[in-house]
Amino acid sequence: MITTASVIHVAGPGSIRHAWKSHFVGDLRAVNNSFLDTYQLKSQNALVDGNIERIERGNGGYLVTVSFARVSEVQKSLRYDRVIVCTGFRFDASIFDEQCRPELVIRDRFPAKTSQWESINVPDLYFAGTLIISTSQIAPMTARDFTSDIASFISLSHSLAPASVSKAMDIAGRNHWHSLRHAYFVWLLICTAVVALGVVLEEIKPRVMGAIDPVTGFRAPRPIISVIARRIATVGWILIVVGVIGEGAFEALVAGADSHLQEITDGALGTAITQVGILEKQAEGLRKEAEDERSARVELEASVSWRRLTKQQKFAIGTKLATEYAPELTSVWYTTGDAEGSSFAADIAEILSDGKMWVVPPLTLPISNEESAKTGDPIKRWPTGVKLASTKDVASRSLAKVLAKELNDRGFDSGMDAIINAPGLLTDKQPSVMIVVCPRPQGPQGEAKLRAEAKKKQQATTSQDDHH
Amino acid sequence: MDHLVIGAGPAGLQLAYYLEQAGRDYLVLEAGATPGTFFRTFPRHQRLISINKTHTGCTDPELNLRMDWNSLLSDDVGLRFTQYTERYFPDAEDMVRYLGDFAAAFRLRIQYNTRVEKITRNGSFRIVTDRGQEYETKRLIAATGVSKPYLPVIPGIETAELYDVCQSIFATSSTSAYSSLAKAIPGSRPLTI
Repeated sequence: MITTASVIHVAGPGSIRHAWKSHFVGDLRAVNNSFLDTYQLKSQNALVDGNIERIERGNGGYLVTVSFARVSEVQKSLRYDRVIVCTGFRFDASIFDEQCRPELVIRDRFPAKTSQWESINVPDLYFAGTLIISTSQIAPMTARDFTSDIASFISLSHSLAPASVSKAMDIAGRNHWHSLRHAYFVWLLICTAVVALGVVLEEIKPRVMGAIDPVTGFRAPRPIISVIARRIATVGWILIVVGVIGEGAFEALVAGADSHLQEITDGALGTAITQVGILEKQAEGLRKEAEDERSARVELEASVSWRRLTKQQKFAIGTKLATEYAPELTSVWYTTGDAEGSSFAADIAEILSDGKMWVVPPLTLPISNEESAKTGDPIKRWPTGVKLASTKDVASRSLAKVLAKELNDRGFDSGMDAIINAPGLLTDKQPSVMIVVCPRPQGPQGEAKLRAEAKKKQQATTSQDDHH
Repeated sequence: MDHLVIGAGPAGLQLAYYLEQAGRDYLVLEAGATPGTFFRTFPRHQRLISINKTHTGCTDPELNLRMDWNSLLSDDVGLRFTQYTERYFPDAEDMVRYLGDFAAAFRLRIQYNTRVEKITRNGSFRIVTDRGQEYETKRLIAATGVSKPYLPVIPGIETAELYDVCQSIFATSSTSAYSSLAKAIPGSRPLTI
């Protein structure tokens, strides 16, 4: 687009990772980065490093609100003529029934797998090709994503900051009581030793009083020593009494310290339990957020998915047409380069073939709105949806109208509109119907469109009821 | 069945080749009419960035294969992608052609135009296709690639043009892939996300 566009912006939430630096082929390859030159060398184009908050369409263009990654809290609304979404692809796990649906990683984009490339939750289900290369190569990025998720998670949860303070206080309190208890215990030991010494001293008395004479039954008298022994025994008794009292006192103090420590432990346990509760609640919130995002994405994808008719739908429409109009000459067309259109054209051709028509297989129609466009011209859009045209005879007109109605009834925008002059294609000599599959209309098609309409209707009735 | 492979892209074909060589009981199911149909649409500009090194200055097939980013492994040294085009960044169409020839050359058991609609499991896997067939297999290999567009949840993103259906900035006829690549309306302001 560089040659003709006046201003090109390329936006994304993360800084660019160059493959030449990361050695990961999924990062930006130099062969695709010539655009960067036009940014670095100030040629009007730019890389927009930020999160896109919303996209609003109107007045023939778009207003896109971006919050910039490197400037906190700066939001800007920028005007564009076109917004092209190139946000990549993801693995389609929808074909798997719930009992054997492989777990996904990286915003549900890739299957989670073991080092043997087997699903982590569905044994005997293996992955090959892009599904392996991407996940093994993106693994470091996932780890980084995880880290940043956890970091933001921690900084967001205010309860964790006071918790860490109280934890520090707990540790300090525990240390204090530990050292007290230690001191009390030492004194308790000393008191015990004093009691032991007292007992020993008291025991000295009978020994130093002299041995008992076996004949007389009296102790041999040792006057001086016996006086000392009596005094030592008294000291012994005093030590025993003091020691026992001390033991009692310090035992009580140790027990007190123990109960303080227990209190602290209980408190910490209580805090921990509360913490677990808070974390579980937050995890539940995150799970819900992820689930909400998942369902939002499913809804989003349904509203932009390729137009496709099921086998049953094709058969039902085909049979209906066959009974009234077959055989009739029909031709199906789609615009050059429209892959989605070509696939839907094939579906319509299959309807006609089920309906026993003569079908010219889908051909391309080179229509372009660019050839005459000049700078400053309003942006013209392609006609969209299925356009039908027929020769003037009643049967052909009716066939075209019925087909358009059947497609509309199934949520695919269709209408009678000869969008191309096709001299020779629709001549009244040969009754025929021409079906041109133009690019997919904006907004939901098919099932998603029917669902959206039903929802709108329901909302309208509810609000009407409210009004009454 | 012992092995059922979903998808006949490069990975599916490579697996099929080795399963065929080993004489295993296998089948490949492919939604498109030929192998590698993803490449018929993507990348939208139809130019591959996997380099095609036709000139290595070396005759050793092992080394040449090491420099070759596109070929599948097989005993047939004649069946290498380097024989298909001289372009250093090849056309996607050449890849589709090469994969088709590879599947045919080894008579790989591939059923085309068959989209897997539902997979259930009761001991073995049971696969139901859009043509109403049912298959049972002990082992299932998903070689589908990343087949769905990934859309970030941004309010209003559905009003923008999506890469897979976006018109007119991409040329799809591979012969003109270089000349008419990426044209925007003169003077317009596009944003690419």
